[in-house]
Amino acid sequence: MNRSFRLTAIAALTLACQEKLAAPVECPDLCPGSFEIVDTVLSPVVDADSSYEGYLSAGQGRSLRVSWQFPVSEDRAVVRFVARPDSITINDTVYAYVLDSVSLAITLAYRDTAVKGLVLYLYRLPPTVDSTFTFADAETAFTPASIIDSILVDDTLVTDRFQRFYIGPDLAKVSIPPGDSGVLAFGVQIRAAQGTGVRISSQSAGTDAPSFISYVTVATSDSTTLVRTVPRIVRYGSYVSQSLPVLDPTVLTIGGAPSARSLIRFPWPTSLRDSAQILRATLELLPVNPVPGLAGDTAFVAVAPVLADFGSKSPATPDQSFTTFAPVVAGQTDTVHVEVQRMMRLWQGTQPLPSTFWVQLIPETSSFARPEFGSTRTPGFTPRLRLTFARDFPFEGL
Amino acid sequence: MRIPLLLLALTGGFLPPESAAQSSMFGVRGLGLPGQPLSARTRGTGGSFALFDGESDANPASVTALPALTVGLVSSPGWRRWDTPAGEVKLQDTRFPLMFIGGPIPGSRMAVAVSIGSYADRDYELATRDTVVYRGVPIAVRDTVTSLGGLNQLRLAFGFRPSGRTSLGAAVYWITGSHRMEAKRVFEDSAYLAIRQSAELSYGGFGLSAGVIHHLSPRLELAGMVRMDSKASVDRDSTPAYDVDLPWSVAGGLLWRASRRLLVTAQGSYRTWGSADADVKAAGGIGARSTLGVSAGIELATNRRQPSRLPIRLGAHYNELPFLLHTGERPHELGLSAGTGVRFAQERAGLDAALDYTTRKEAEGFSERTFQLILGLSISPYGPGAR
Repeated sequence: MNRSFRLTAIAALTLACQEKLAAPVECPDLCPGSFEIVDTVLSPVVDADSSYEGYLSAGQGRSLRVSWQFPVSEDRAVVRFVARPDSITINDTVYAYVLDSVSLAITLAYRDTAVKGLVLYLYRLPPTVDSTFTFADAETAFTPASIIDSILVDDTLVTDRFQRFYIGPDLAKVSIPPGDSGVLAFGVQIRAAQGTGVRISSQSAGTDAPSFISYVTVATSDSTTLVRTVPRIVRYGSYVSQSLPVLDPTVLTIGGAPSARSLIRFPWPTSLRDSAQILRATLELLPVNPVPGLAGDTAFVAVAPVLADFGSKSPATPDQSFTTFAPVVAGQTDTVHVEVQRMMRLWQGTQPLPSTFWVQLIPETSSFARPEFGSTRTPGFTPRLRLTFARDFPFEGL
Repeated sequence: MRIPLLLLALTGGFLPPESAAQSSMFGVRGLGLPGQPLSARTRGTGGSFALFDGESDANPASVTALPALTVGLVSSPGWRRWDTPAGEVKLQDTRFPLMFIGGPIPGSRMAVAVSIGSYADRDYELATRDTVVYRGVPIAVRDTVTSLGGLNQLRLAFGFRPSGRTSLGAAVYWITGSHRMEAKRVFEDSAYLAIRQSAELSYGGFGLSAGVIHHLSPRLELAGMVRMDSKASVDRDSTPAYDVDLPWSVAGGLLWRASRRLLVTAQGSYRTWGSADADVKAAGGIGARSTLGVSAGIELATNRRQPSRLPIRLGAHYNELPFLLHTGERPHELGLSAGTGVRFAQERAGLDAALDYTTRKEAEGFSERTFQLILGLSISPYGPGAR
């Protein structure tokens, strides 16, 4: 009995655990239903798409624009460092020091290698440089007499960090008069074989930021503290432009400085909100003119959902995983396609977010690109939301 | 009593959510492939012994044939080969088409039994490849539609033996069950999100049946059964969806004791599945038609002193299938079976086994061959004759 019982149980257990059900078939012969996929295009709510500017100012990005005879924009960079003290404290004792040398460094973040003979010029600027400093002020201050240094950039280099040391007689170029309270400021201008622009790293760029380091000798008998460095970080960094573009209310603009962003609202029917499974969603933006910018310097159109629709002050969702990007390059006239499928799920369910897109340029205020896309007020260039979605599978089918 | 309880606990541990007969391409449409809640002994005779078998869920009058309190379970591993225009595939699964407990009521001429059996099986997983055009671009897709589950029937049967020659029976059925369906589509182009949708369809209905077994002579018995099933209400995710009419069934059979060692059985049945045709079509199906079934078999005792020890059972069956794959077709199955069995532990336990080979066919290019092993275990803890 026990033996038979065991054999039976083992056999039953062995046989019970095997399943292989998948079978290849051809529809519709053996298919109890099929997917219904719908491809549709939504147009924005008329006159509910707008651009706003003033979110970030020049210098608040990771790069500073510098250009010369560049049709897109004419820009000069300015940098002011934190004041250098006239003494240093070692072990609670204040010591005077003797300035031995100084180094200045900037990082070329991007240049167009098609333009040869690029030279970076550093100009000494008054220590009062701040946000009131204008392009006209820069033109006045950028004189041959105020040149600190010039840096010839190898024609093959796209990006590099340049550090210059000033010692002995050259120290005079970076000497800080007593009346300047230890503040050093300089500006950046370029020249090249033809008009062009470059980006240099700003104070937000970490180790690529402009630097000002003083190497000093302290009058102390302790040899371990004899030689000191006095680094100064950037207090103010920005760029000034010859002319600021005016926001055109008939188009959707992103980028520039101060930066512009655009809000696009779409109608969102309940059939899409409640039951459709969205397979692909693409926001299509049509440039109304070739995208201005620096050749080869790719920027990105970033599209994010908003948590609430408060117009220009609408907060974008903080979850970056819902933000999607599409590249945009100088001279582009083709439609920009941004895949936004991921954020569509936020427009669905019982508590959906507003069916509104925030569109902005990345990097903001750092790029020469300032795309202008068509709006509902520019016939033929209206943005589109192309949706591919599946309706409910007919499971009830027999 | 410990052994059956232990066995039930053991089998219950790996019992699937629904006990179903077998997975078949003819279970894709309609309510699925009709189940066969029959014992291994009956399956060995091609199903022809069903109306006389107290361990099968066919004729309520047959519960009077249980000699003592009996607990049983049937397991049915199966191997199939589908042939369709999309190609051939070999499939495999295991089902538990029947569990039962029943026996005579002490001090009376009555017997009672409770059983859980398969009513219809809708287990399948279908895979297709296709190329579709979205946004003007052809994209390769792979679709999968899966269904797990089916309809079960819970039967409470009473049998009464007014005389030594006649048994009467009646039963009430609760038809219930559900199947989880899932549809998936995967795109070759990763820009498209994969589709995955699921739903649960649940069913509810009831049925009544009555049966009789009469000994015309010591060698010849006749049996008959009639059964009425109500409409099955179908809910999708707990929301009423539609109703499907369930059939009336009538069946008759004969058992002839040709000799002390040879038993010959035959059976015929008819089910009015055609009454569900309109409901099936309204739900998007192809249709349903009423079915005829016939079977015949023998049981030959190899040991005259112990007839229950390793008898030889042979049978054949022909059944029409109710749910169509194509309009105007008549799907059907034809099968051969063989089996045997043994009782042990002083006749308190029995193990029966049967092999069934069935071919099913509908339109040109749509056929399947199945090979099933049916294992039945029954236990009478108090021994035969004990009440």
